[in-house]
Amino acid sequence: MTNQPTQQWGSRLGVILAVAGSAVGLGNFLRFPGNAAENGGGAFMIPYFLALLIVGIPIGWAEWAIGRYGGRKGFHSAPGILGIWCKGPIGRYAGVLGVLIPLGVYFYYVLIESWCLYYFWKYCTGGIGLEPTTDVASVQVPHTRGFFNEVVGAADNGALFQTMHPVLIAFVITVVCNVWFVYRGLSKGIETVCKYAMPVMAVLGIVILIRVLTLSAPAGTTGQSVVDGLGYLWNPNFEKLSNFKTWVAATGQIFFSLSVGFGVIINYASYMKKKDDVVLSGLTASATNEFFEVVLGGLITVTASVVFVGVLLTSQATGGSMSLGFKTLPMVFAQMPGGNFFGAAFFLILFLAAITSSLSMLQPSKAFFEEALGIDKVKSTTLVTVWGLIGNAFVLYYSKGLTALDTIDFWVGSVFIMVVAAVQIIAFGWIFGLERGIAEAHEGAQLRIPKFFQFVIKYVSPAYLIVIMIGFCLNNAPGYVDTLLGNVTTSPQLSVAAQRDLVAAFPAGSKLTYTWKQLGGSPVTLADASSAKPSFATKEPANAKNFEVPFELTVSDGTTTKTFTASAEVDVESPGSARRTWVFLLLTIAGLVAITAIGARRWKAEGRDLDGKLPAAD
Amino acid sequence: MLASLTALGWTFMLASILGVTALTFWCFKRVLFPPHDEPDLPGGLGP
Repeated sequence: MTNQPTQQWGSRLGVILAVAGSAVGLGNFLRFPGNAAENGGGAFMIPYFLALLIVGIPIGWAEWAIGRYGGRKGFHSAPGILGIWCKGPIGRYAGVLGVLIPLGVYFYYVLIESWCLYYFWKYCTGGIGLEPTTDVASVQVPHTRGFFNEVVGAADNGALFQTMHPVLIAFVITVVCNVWFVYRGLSKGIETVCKYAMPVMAVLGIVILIRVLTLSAPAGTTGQSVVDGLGYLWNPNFEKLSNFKTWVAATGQIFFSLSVGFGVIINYASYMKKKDDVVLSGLTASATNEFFEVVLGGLITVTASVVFVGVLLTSQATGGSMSLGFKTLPMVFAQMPGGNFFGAAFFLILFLAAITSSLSMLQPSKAFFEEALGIDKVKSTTLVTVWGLIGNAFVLYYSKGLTALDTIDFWVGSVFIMVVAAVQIIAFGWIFGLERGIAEAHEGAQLRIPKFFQFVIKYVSPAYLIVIMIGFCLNNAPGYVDTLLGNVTTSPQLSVAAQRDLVAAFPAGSKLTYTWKQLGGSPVTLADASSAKPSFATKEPANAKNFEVPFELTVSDGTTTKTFTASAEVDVESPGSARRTWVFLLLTIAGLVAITAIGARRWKAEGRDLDGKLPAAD
Repeated sequence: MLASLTALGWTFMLASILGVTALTFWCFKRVLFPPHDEPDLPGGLGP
């Protein structure tokens, strides 16, 4: 066994804020409101809260109890702990995913964090060069997209290093902060940061919220009020509830937002004492995350965006976190009085939300290396730093089209999380035994998990999770698999100004016909050619280089006919990037599996209870 | 066409926000000011 002094949390509030800090991230402010607006508005909250009750909170409780019990057996890593709960090597090797997920997500998350820091710095020093204008679509959209593409190096692989873009300085600062606080340890590092960062985020969020709720659009712009913005997000559309995608989206939002199955809670809870309350702590951390998501995320970003840049640009930005945060909201700040102050405050919130999350991503790997290799905290911090930097450098270099980032985010940050959560809830309810699991969770607890939840944990959560996991993969995985196989599907796009003109030319609810004509390049065959959004497939050629295909779109409602130009950017380089990313991920997985095997041999030689056959110590 | 916030929209928004806020405050109250007369519930897996 290592001679490391056992780490512990400084206080009960500290561990709650650390877990909540890990869960509160960019998705709370940017992904949630877009998801809700796209999937039924207020009606989205029905499957959302249902998923919170039957997936988020129960699996969270199970994960807290699993982690604390593992800690009492002397394990702090997912492979060690799940080996006990699953009673053997299958759980131990499934637990490798519990180390891979935080480490893999760290590879790209710290980059997004450095973008937040860079935007914050730009707003502190005068903004990103946007002037207020009444023609947002033609003037500000190209500027913000161009600025963002430069910051992330989307134009070409290695673009950031070729230009030595100043965002690299923000990246270095971000990495140093992360490594330093993780090196300081749980209590002096992570807990201290979260104790300050979480209240600061809450206060800044409330200040911005008050400002947003008292906004009015400048004359000559959108003419939308705050109440219109809130209506866009919250008016219920019950028809969406009959669509399975809405349920998948709601459960996915809860799932990714609460960080269950991420490998962090299990590690954090392993440092708790036997008499610490995991039931109330788990509920409080979940509730805190929900406060940031529903109250602050649900009222600030989309509302302000609708008021200042309108519904069209807002709806285009709500597909993911990045577009709304880094492209659309800068336009809002440019129009808003005191925009630089609010821009700085907003990106500071995002940076704090991100750093409290990224700190939690390093700690599980650090604990795993110490435990499996028997090394001290200096060596484990060095190892996790170097491994993290290699991953960061990979994602930083392969920046074109953000394919590497997107590939890791989908497979590691979405699919694998569901797998780990499924393993945990099945281990808790079925392998370890529900009664034993609940008894463990109740140790030191002020609150008793209601009987209803015990039934949910045993039957409903695993079944619901597996159905949603299959639905999520069916909805999303084919596109990613196709890319890996070298098949690229592309849709022609209108410019934002053309979209605005199209919306203005035809009254809402008009029955429109669409006719697409290719204007140049090698001929392509459009699928769904008479729809507003046709697509065509391209097979990855040898020596692939991206190219553009120009189109002309004619729209008619029978009386009026309008013609627009459009273009399709065919990204035939993405399959190569996706495959390189997978090779890198497989090497990472192989390394973690090898370390797990070394650890298992060590633990066995030390006479430790690998397979959970002995009772836990106090 | 954008609709202003409807009565149902207000209902969903306020119920969600007030519900989440109340739960958060209740949890923090229990964490920061635990009831003294409440003994630990029986449970645990023994030594």
